[in-house]
Amino acid sequence: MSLHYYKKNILPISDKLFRFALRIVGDRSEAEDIVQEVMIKIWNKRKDWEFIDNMEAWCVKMTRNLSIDKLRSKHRRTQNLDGLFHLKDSSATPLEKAESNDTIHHISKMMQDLPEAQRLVMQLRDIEELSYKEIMEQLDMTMPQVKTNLFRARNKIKKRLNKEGNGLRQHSNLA
Amino acid sequence: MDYDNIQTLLEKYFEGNTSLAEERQLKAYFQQKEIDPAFEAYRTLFGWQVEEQSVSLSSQFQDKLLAEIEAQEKPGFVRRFLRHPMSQAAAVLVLLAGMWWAYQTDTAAVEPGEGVTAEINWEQYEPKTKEEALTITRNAMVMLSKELNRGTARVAKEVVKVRQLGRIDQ
Repeated sequence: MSLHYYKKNILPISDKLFRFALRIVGDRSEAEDIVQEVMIKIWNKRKDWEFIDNMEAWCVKMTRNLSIDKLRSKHRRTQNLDGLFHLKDSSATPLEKAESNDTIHHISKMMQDLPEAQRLVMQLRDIEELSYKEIMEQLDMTMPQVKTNLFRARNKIKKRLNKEGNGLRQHSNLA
Repeated sequence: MDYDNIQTLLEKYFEGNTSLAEERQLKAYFQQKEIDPAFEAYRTLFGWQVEEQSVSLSSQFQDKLLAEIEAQEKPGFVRRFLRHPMSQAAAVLVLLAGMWWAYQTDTAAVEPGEGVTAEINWEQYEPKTKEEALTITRNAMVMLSKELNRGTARVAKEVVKVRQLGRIDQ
Protein backbone atom coordinates (compact mmCIF):
# COMPACT_ATOMS: atom_id res chain seq x y z
CA MET A 1 0.00 0.00 0.00
CA SER A 2 2.75 2.45 1.03
CA LEU A 3 4.85 1.51 -1.98
CA HIS A 4 1.90 2.03 -4.30
CA TYR A 5 1.28 5.50 -2.83
CA TYR A 6 4.98 6.28 -3.04
CA LYS A 7 5.19 5.30 -6.71
CA LYS A 8 2.02 7.17 -7.61
CA ASN A 9 2.43 10.39 -5.63
CA ILE A 10 6.03 10.86 -4.57
CA LEU A 11 8.21 9.43 -7.32
CA PRO A 12 6.68 11.73 -9.97
CA ILE A 13 7.96 14.82 -8.14
CA SER A 14 11.56 13.56 -8.11
CA ASP A 15 12.41 15.47 -11.32
CA LYS A 16 11.14 18.66 -9.78
CA LEU A 17 13.19 18.03 -6.63
CA PHE A 18 16.19 17.36 -8.86
CA ARG A 19 15.84 20.72 -10.67
CA PHE A 20 15.42 22.42 -7.32
CA ALA A 21 18.53 20.77 -5.84
CA LEU A 22 20.44 21.51 -9.06
CA ARG A 23 19.54 25.19 -8.75
CA ILE A 24 21.14 25.23 -5.30
CA VAL A 25 24.21 23.03 -5.68
CA GLY A 26 24.83 23.60 -9.41
CA ASP A 27 26.11 20.08 -10.04
CA ARG A 28 24.09 17.30 -11.71
CA SER A 29 25.56 14.28 -9.96
CA GLU A 30 25.48 15.96 -6.58
CA ALA A 31 21.86 17.01 -7.13
CA GLU A 32 20.99 13.43 -8.09
CA ASP A 33 22.63 12.09 -4.91
CA ILE A 34 20.67 14.62 -2.86
CA VAL A 35 17.37 13.59 -4.44
CA GLN A 36 18.15 9.92 -3.85
CA GLU A 37 18.89 10.63 -0.19
CA VAL A 38 15.71 12.68 0.15
CA MET A 39 13.58 10.02 -1.55
CA ILE A 40 14.92 7.33 0.80
CA LYS A 41 14.34 9.54 3.84
CA ILE A 42 10.77 10.13 2.70
CA TRP A 43 10.24 6.38 2.33
CA ASN A 44 11.70 5.70 5.77
CA LYS A 45 9.28 8.22 7.28
CA ARG A 46 6.24 6.57 5.70
CA LYS A 47 4.60 6.18 9.13
CA ASP A 48 4.40 10.01 9.34
CA TRP A 49 2.83 10.54 5.89
CA GLU A 50 -0.70 10.64 7.25
CA PHE A 51 0.21 13.62 9.47
CA ILE A 52 1.67 15.68 6.61
CA ASP A 53 -0.72 18.24 5.10
CA ASN A 54 1.27 19.13 1.99
CA MET A 55 3.52 16.30 0.87
CA GLU A 56 5.12 18.23 -2.00
CA ALA A 57 6.00 21.21 0.20
CA TRP A 58 7.50 18.80 2.76
CA CYS A 59 9.63 17.13 0.07
CA VAL A 60 10.81 20.48 -1.30
CA LYS A 61 11.77 21.68 2.18
CA MET A 62 13.70 18.49 2.84
CA THR A 63 15.51 18.85 -0.51
CA ARG A 64 16.31 22.47 0.18
CA ASN A 65 17.72 21.77 3.65
CA LEU A 66 19.83 18.87 2.46
CA SER A 67 21.13 20.81 -0.57
CA ILE A 68 22.13 23.76 1.61
CA ASP A 69 23.82 21.43 4.11
CA LYS A 70 25.82 19.77 1.31
CA LEU A 71 26.75 23.10 -0.17
CA ARG A 72 27.90 24.47 3.16
CA SER A 73 29.90 21.39 4.00
CA LYS A 74 31.78 21.37 0.73
CA HIS A 75 32.33 25.10 0.15
CA ARG A 76 32.80 24.62 -3.53
CA ARG A 77 29.87 26.32 -5.16
CA THR A 78 31.88 28.60 -7.42
CA GLN A 79 34.16 25.84 -8.66
CA ASN A 80 31.18 23.62 -9.44
CA LEU A 81 29.41 26.28 -11.40
CA ASP A 82 32.45 26.96 -13.50
CA GLY A 83 32.83 23.23 -14.10
CA LEU A 84 29.17 22.81 -14.94
CA PHE A 85 28.68 25.63 -17.35
CA HIS A 86 32.21 25.82 -18.81
CA LEU A 87 32.03 29.57 -18.57
CA LYS A 88 34.44 31.89 -20.26
CA ASP A 89 36.21 34.31 -17.98
CA SER A 90 35.58 38.05 -17.99
CA SER A 91 38.41 38.57 -20.45
CA ALA A 92 36.36 36.95 -23.23
CA THR A 93 36.18 39.01 -26.42
CA PRO A 94 32.89 40.69 -27.46
CA LEU A 95 32.57 38.11 -30.24
CA GLU A 96 32.89 35.24 -27.76
CA LYS A 97 30.38 36.94 -25.50
CA ALA A 98 28.02 37.31 -28.45
CA GLU A 99 28.33 33.62 -29.27
CA SER A 100 27.66 32.54 -25.70
CA ASN A 101 24.80 35.00 -25.34
CA ASP A 102 22.38 32.66 -27.09
CA THR A 103 23.17 29.71 -24.94
CA ILE A 104 21.10 28.33 -22.13
CA HIS A 105 24.18 28.23 -19.96
CA HIS A 106 24.43 31.97 -20.07
CA ILE A 107 21.04 32.45 -18.41
CA SER A 108 21.85 29.64 -15.99
CA LYS A 109 24.91 31.57 -14.89
CA MET A 110 22.82 34.73 -14.42
CA MET A 111 20.45 32.71 -12.25
CA GLN A 112 23.28 31.29 -10.17
CA ASP A 113 24.55 34.82 -9.57
CA LEU A 114 21.25 35.79 -7.92
CA PRO A 115 20.92 35.61 -4.13
CA GLU A 116 19.54 32.25 -3.04
CA ALA A 117 16.03 33.42 -2.07
CA GLN A 118 15.54 35.27 -5.39
CA ARG A 119 16.90 32.32 -7.36
CA LEU A 120 14.62 29.78 -5.68
CA VAL A 121 11.50 31.93 -5.98
CA MET A 122 12.18 32.47 -9.70
CA GLN A 123 12.86 28.74 -10.14
CA LEU A 124 9.55 27.75 -8.55
CA ARG A 125 7.55 30.39 -10.43
CA ASP A 126 9.07 30.44 -13.92
CA ILE A 127 10.16 26.82 -14.26
CA GLU A 128 7.91 24.83 -11.93
CA GLU A 129 4.98 27.21 -12.57
CA LEU A 130 3.76 27.26 -8.98
CA SER A 131 1.24 29.75 -7.59
CA TYR A 132 2.42 32.37 -5.11
CA LYS A 133 0.66 30.47 -2.32
CA GLU A 134 2.51 27.26 -3.16
CA ILE A 135 5.83 29.13 -3.24
CA MET A 136 5.05 30.63 0.18
CA GLU A 137 4.45 27.16 1.61
CA GLN A 138 7.45 25.52 0.02
CA LEU A 139 9.95 28.23 0.91
CA ASP A 140 8.45 29.31 4.25
CA MET A 141 8.07 32.89 3.08
CA THR A 142 5.33 35.50 3.36
CA MET A 143 3.48 36.72 0.27
CA PRO A 144 5.34 40.09 0.23
CA GLN A 145 8.67 38.25 0.50
CA VAL A 146 7.76 36.00 -2.44
CA LYS A 147 6.69 38.96 -4.60
CA THR A 148 9.67 41.12 -3.68
CA ASN A 149 12.15 38.33 -4.38
CA LEU A 150 10.51 37.55 -7.72
CA PHE A 151 10.44 41.23 -8.72
CA ARG A 152 14.11 41.69 -7.84
CA ALA A 153 15.22 38.48 -9.55
CA ARG A 154 13.41 39.21 -12.81
CA ASN A 155 14.64 42.80 -12.88
CA LYS A 156 18.26 41.84 -12.32
CA ILE A 157 18.03 39.38 -15.22
CA LYS A 158 16.28 42.01 -17.35
CA LYS A 159 18.98 44.61 -16.67
CA ARG A 160 21.73 42.17 -17.61
CA LEU A 161 19.92 41.07 -20.76
CA ASN A 162 19.32 44.67 -21.84
CA LYS A 163 22.91 45.65 -21.06
CA GLU A 164 24.28 42.75 -23.08
CA GLY A 165 21.74 43.37 -25.87
CA ASN A 166 22.94 46.98 -26.17
CA GLY A 167 26.54 45.83 -26.11
CA LEU A 168 25.84 43.37 -28.90
CA ARG A 169 24.08 45.94 -31.05
CA GLN A 170 27.01 48.33 -30.66
CA HIS A 171 29.44 45.53 -31.51
CA SER A 172 27.49 44.52 -34.67
CA ASN A 173 27.23 48.20 -35.73
CA LEU A 174 31.01 48.53 -35.45
CA ALA A 175 31.53 45.33 -37.45
CA MET B 1 0.06 38.30 -30.77
CA ASP B 2 0.67 41.98 -31.50
CA TYR B 3 3.49 44.18 -30.31
CA ASP B 4 1.45 46.13 -27.76
CA ASN B 5 0.08 42.99 -26.20
CA ILE B 6 3.55 41.48 -25.73
CA GLN B 7 4.92 44.79 -24.51
CA THR B 8 2.20 44.97 -21.85
CA LEU B 9 2.73 41.36 -20.81
CA LEU B 10 6.49 41.85 -20.57
CA GLU B 11 6.04 44.94 -18.39
CA LYS B 12 3.65 43.04 -16.14
CA TYR B 13 6.07 40.09 -16.04
CA PHE B 14 9.03 42.17 -14.90
CA GLU B 15 6.86 43.90 -12.29
CA GLY B 16 5.90 40.45 -11.00
CA ASN B 17 2.21 40.96 -11.82
CA THR B 18 1.53 38.34 -14.51
CA SER B 19 -0.66 35.31 -13.92
CA LEU B 20 0.61 31.81 -14.68
CA ALA B 21 -1.52 31.78 -17.85
CA GLU B 22 0.05 35.05 -19.05
CA GLU B 23 3.52 33.72 -18.32
CA ARG B 24 2.72 30.66 -20.44
CA GLN B 25 1.62 33.01 -23.26
CA LEU B 26 5.00 34.73 -23.10
CA LYS B 27 6.83 31.40 -23.20
CA ALA B 28 4.77 30.34 -26.22
CA TYR B 29 5.43 33.66 -27.98
CA PHE B 30 9.19 33.41 -27.54
CA GLN B 31 9.17 29.84 -28.89
CA GLN B 32 8.21 31.22 -32.33
CA LYS B 33 10.88 31.64 -35.00
CA GLU B 34 9.76 35.13 -36.00
CA ILE B 35 9.37 37.63 -33.19
CA ASP B 36 9.53 41.39 -33.06
CA PRO B 37 13.23 42.44 -33.02
CA ALA B 38 12.49 44.76 -30.09
CA PHE B 39 11.94 41.72 -27.86
CA GLU B 40 14.85 39.67 -29.12
CA ALA B 41 16.87 40.31 -25.92
CA TYR B 42 14.33 38.29 -23.92
CA ARG B 43 14.19 35.27 -26.23
CA THR B 44 16.98 33.48 -24.35
CA LEU B 45 15.28 34.02 -20.99
CA PHE B 46 11.97 32.43 -21.98
CA GLY B 47 13.69 29.81 -24.14
CA TRP B 48 15.81 28.87 -21.14
CA GLN B 49 12.73 28.56 -18.92
CA VAL B 50 11.08 26.14 -21.35
CA GLU B 51 14.26 24.11 -21.72
CA GLU B 52 14.80 23.93 -17.95
CA GLN B 53 11.32 22.43 -17.52
CA SER B 54 12.51 19.32 -19.30
CA VAL B 55 15.65 18.83 -17.18
CA SER B 56 15.24 15.47 -15.48
CA LEU B 57 17.02 12.76 -13.55
CA SER B 58 18.86 10.02 -15.39
CA SER B 59 16.65 7.26 -16.80
CA GLN B 60 18.00 4.66 -14.34
CA PHE B 61 17.31 6.81 -11.27
CA GLN B 62 13.86 5.44 -10.44
CA ASP B 63 14.93 1.81 -10.98
CA LYS B 64 17.98 2.30 -8.76
CA LEU B 65 15.91 3.97 -6.06
CA LEU B 66 13.18 1.32 -6.05
CA ALA B 67 15.79 -1.44 -5.98
CA GLU B 68 17.38 0.18 -2.94
CA ILE B 69 14.03 0.53 -1.18
CA GLU B 70 13.10 -3.08 -1.95
CA ALA B 71 16.49 -4.26 -0.66
CA GLN B 72 15.87 -2.36 2.59
CA GLU B 73 12.45 -3.94 2.93
CA LYS B 74 13.57 -7.50 2.15
CA PRO B 75 13.28 -9.53 5.38
CA GLY B 76 16.31 -11.43 6.67
CA PHE B 77 16.64 -15.22 6.44
CA VAL B 78 15.16 -15.88 9.90
CA ARG B 79 12.07 -13.71 9.29
CA ARG B 80 11.50 -15.29 5.87
CA PHE B 81 11.90 -18.80 7.35
CA LEU B 82 9.47 -18.12 10.20
CA ARG B 83 6.70 -16.96 7.85
CA HIS B 84 5.54 -20.55 7.19
CA PRO B 85 3.52 -22.38 9.91
CA MET B 86 5.56 -25.59 9.42
CA SER B 87 8.77 -23.65 10.01
CA GLN B 88 7.29 -22.12 13.17
CA ALA B 89 6.37 -25.60 14.46
CA ALA B 90 9.84 -26.87 13.63
CA ALA B 91 11.41 -23.92 15.45
CA VAL B 92 9.33 -24.65 18.58
CA LEU B 93 10.37 -28.33 18.46
CA VAL B 94 14.04 -27.39 18.11
CA LEU B 95 13.70 -25.00 21.05
CA LEU B 96 12.07 -27.65 23.25
CA ALA B 97 14.67 -30.23 22.26
CA GLY B 98 17.39 -27.75 23.12
CA MET B 99 15.90 -27.04 26.54
CA TRP B 100 15.54 -30.77 27.27
CA TRP B 101 19.14 -31.39 26.22
CA ALA B 102 20.38 -28.50 28.38
CA TYR B 103 18.43 -29.84 31.37
CA GLN B 104 19.81 -33.37 30.85
CA THR B 105 23.36 -32.08 30.52
CA ASP B 106 23.01 -29.97 33.66
CA THR B 107 21.67 -32.80 35.88
CA ALA B 108 24.06 -35.41 34.47
CA ALA B 109 27.04 -33.15 35.16
CA VAL B 110 26.51 -33.23 38.96
CA GLU B 111 27.58 -36.54 40.54
CA PRO B 112 25.89 -37.60 43.84
CA GLY B 113 27.72 -36.00 46.74
CA GLU B 114 29.82 -33.77 44.42
CA GLY B 115 29.45 -30.03 44.76
CA VAL B 116 27.45 -30.25 48.02
CA THR B 117 28.77 -27.87 50.67
CA ALA B 118 29.53 -29.03 54.23
CA GLU B 119 26.55 -29.06 56.54
CA ILE B 120 26.40 -26.18 59.04
CA ASN B 121 25.90 -27.06 62.68
CA TRP B 122 23.40 -24.35 63.68
CA GLU B 123 23.18 -25.72 67.24
CA GLN B 124 26.50 -24.10 68.14
CA TYR B 125 24.94 -20.63 67.65
CA GLU B 126 21.91 -21.27 69.85
CA PRO B 127 21.98 -19.79 73.42
CA LYS B 128 22.43 -22.45 76.06
CA THR B 129 21.14 -20.50 79.12
CA LYS B 130 18.42 -17.91 79.84
CA GLU B 131 21.05 -15.23 80.64
CA GLU B 132 22.83 -15.79 77.34
CA ALA B 133 19.49 -15.45 75.46
CA LEU B 134 18.71 -12.22 77.37
CA THR B 135 22.13 -10.73 76.53
CA ILE B 136 21.78 -11.55 72.84
CA THR B 137 18.25 -10.07 72.72
CA ARG B 138 19.35 -6.92 74.61
CA ASN B 139 22.27 -6.37 72.24
CA ALA B 140 19.95 -6.77 69.24
CA MET B 141 17.51 -4.21 70.69
CA VAL B 142 20.35 -1.72 71.36
CA MET B 143 21.57 -2.06 67.78
CA LEU B 144 18.00 -1.56 66.46
CA SER B 145 17.48 1.51 68.60
CA LYS B 146 20.79 3.05 67.38
CA GLU B 147 19.76 2.56 63.74
CA LEU B 148 16.33 4.08 64.40
CA ASN B 149 17.93 7.13 66.04
CA ARG B 150 20.27 7.59 63.11
CA GLY B 151 17.29 7.44 60.68
CA THR B 152 15.29 9.97 62.68
CA ALA B 153 18.26 12.38 62.78
CA ARG B 154 18.64 12.15 59.00
CA VAL B 155 14.92 12.80 58.41
CA ALA B 156 15.06 15.82 60.74
CA LYS B 157 18.03 17.20 58.77
CA GLU B 158 16.18 16.81 55.45
CA VAL B 159 13.08 18.53 56.88
CA VAL B 160 15.24 21.53 57.84
CA LYS B 161 16.65 21.66 54.29
CA VAL B 162 13.19 21.48 52.71
CA ARG B 163 11.98 24.30 54.96
CA GLN B 164 14.94 26.43 53.92
CA LEU B 165 14.20 25.77 50.26
CA GLY B 166 10.55 26.69 50.83
CA ARG B 167 11.64 30.02 52.28
CA ILE B 168 13.85 30.70 49.29
CA ASP B 169 10.93 30.04 46.91
CA GLN B 170 8.69 32.39 48.83
